Amino acid sequence: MAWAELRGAAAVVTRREQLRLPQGMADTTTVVRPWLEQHKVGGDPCVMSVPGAQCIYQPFLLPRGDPRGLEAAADMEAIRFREMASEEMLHAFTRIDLAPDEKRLLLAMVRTSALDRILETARSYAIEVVDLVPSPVALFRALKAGREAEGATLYLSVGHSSTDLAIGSPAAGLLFARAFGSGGQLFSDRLARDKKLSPAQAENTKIREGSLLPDNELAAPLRAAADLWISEIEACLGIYGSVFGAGKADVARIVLAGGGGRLKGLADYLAIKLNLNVETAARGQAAADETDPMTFATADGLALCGLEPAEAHISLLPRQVRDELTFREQKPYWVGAGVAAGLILAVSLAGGFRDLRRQSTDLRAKRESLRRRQDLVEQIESIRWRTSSVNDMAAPLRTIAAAGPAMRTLLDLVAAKKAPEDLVTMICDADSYFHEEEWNPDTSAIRSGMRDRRAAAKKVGERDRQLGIQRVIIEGYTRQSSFATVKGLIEALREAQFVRSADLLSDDKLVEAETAATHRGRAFVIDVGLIQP
Amino acid sequence: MSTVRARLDDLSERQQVLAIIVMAGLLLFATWFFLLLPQNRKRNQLRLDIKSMTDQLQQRNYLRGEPALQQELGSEQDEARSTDKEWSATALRMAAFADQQQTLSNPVGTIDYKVKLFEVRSSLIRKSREANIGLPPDLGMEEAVRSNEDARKLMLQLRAVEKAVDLALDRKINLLRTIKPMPPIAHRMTPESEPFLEEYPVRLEFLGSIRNIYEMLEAILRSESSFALRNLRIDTASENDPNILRVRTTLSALVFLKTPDDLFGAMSKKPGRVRRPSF
Repeated sequence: MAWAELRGAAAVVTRREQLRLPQGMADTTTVVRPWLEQHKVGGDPCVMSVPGAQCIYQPFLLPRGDPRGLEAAADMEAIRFREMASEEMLHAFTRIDLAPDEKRLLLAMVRTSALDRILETARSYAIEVVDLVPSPVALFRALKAGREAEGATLYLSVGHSSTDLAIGSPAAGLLFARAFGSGGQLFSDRLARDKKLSPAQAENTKIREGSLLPDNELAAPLRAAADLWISEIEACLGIYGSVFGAGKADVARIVLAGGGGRLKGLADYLAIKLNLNVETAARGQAAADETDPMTFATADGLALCGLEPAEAHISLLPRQVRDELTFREQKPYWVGAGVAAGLILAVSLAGGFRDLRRQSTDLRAKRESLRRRQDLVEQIESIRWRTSSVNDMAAPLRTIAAAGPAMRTLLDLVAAKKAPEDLVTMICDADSYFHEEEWNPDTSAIRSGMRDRRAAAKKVGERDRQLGIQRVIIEGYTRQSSFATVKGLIEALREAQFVRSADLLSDDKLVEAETAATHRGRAFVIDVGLIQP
Repeated sequence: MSTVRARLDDLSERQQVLAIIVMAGLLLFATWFFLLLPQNRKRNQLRLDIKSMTDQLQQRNYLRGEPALQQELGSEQDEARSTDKEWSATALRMAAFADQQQTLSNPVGTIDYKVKLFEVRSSLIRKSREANIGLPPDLGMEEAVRSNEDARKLMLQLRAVEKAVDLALDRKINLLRTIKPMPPIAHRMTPESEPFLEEYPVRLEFLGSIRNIYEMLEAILRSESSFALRNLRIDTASENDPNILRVRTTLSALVFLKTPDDLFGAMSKKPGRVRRPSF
């Protein structure tokens, strides 16, 4: 296990730890988990490797003129494999930049069931997985930096029971990846068989005394195992050569890593066998502590992938896990945005509420003012109506009260304006005049001429019978045949302020006949209308 | 609590955030629904009320400020007080009986009327004899009181007759030929309402001089002997003596039963509502 951190723009491995598991152990959780807790791994994001042997690696070249993009091509190739494998598989790819006019990619596929097992293991270890990277990819990531040599480099990580193989260059990226099931155990097994040792003894002997150098007594069995192991490499190189051919992709050198790679003489033997320059991973690697970078090459690559995924990166993390991680990364921003949105909405709501309250207060005040004004209007109209009602009450009283003074003034006026030779025989309000029978049912005493006249006028008078004295009838006789004095009296009456109208009530032949009979002059009847208050 | 916690732990972070967003949305909706919406409705209702009230005031031509309305109210109150005062003065001047409030408030029984009738007859006959003026001895008032007759009205009729005859006798007329109390006339604001004024008319027919008539008219205009003149007919009683005049008149004694305050409620000095009576 390796820890890395960013220093400036570069990721640097800062710490390495190793846990040796007993051989043939079924359940590793009881050992691994306490060890992880001891090293306080629980809170840190981890990148786990997908064992190279569990992946299928397929480099391919898209034909010239193929309109598909790399992603579409990778998807189609993965579908084709899935149909063949009849099992759900997850795939990822990395671009190969070998030539500018080529479209090449390296496709990596893995069964989802294998990934589920890895993730389940991670859950049982209580570690937070942020990426799943095939071990050859991690190996390439760890060892590729800073190497600007011609041609491609073959990276080998010799594990206990498998060897990861990656071919690539910093310029072209990861070109080829493979893993085969032969590792350090192959050498131990051969030693155990030839020297009649137990597996544990053989392993310890290999580590302590094993060497492929000719002067070593264990060289023979180890070289026999190495030949087998190298044949696997040659098979892989054969496939590689068939895919990429000769040219820029030719393997120019080998970098050896992994615990099994530390076997003495293996690098030299490999160089002789493959006729290539072989280096070990220790050279050029910055070690943060005393640990051997050769052993931790894959772990270093995983740690570096977690911090700064290179262009030649293949991640086999399932989409839902990746989404969950992405979401977790973005969660603070989501929460922040949500809080900000909530605050904005809350401020808007509070502002709206405050504004509504203010408007409501203003409107309430306005309504109260209008209500007060309505009350005032009600009071004004009530008082106005009351005044009008009192005036209505007073109207008949005024009419009744005005009659006395009016009659007195009229008497004065008639007395003053009447011609001395004329005789006024009656002054009477119209109501009494036209309804004489109410006073004296026996009207025979009335002079005949006058009776007829009153009877004729009665019909008119009944219609005009009203409250108070509105009309006054003046009867009399004049010695002036021309009625000149009567006219003078009428004109004087008309000029009076309290008189509305004045004229003869009627004048017909009966009056002429009566005048002749009585020898007292000519009768006249004046109808005076009074102004009402 | 632990159950809820366990259920929350079962949710993925995505689900938790979604749940928080949904809860926040619900909270905001609830805030809007229970806080803002009612406020908004209230505000709209207030606006409608104000529009309605403004329209009402505008239709009635009263869309003015409060001070202007207060001023108008004050003017109306002043006018109302002035009208009341005028009514009171008129009522005081024209009331036939100075003690009319006492007369109206005291219960009047038939016996009271009969005793009073006897007293008035005796008094007026004695006075007429002293003045040597002829007078109908029954004063036109029947002694019998029927069951459908109101003793109070009969009493007021009698007092009107007494006052009118007394007025005539004081004027030294020649002869009081007829006395006829007429049915009382009630004045009401509406046919259904209570009367506020009653007239007790008395018809008199007497013989006298023009001087007697003038004095009589002047007397009824004075407040202490106030009568309302309803009818007046003056004609010559005899062709031989034009100075003797026959006068037929109807004099009404006015009894004020109600004041404006009784009918419409008292006017307060401060602005206040005036009750509209239901007469």
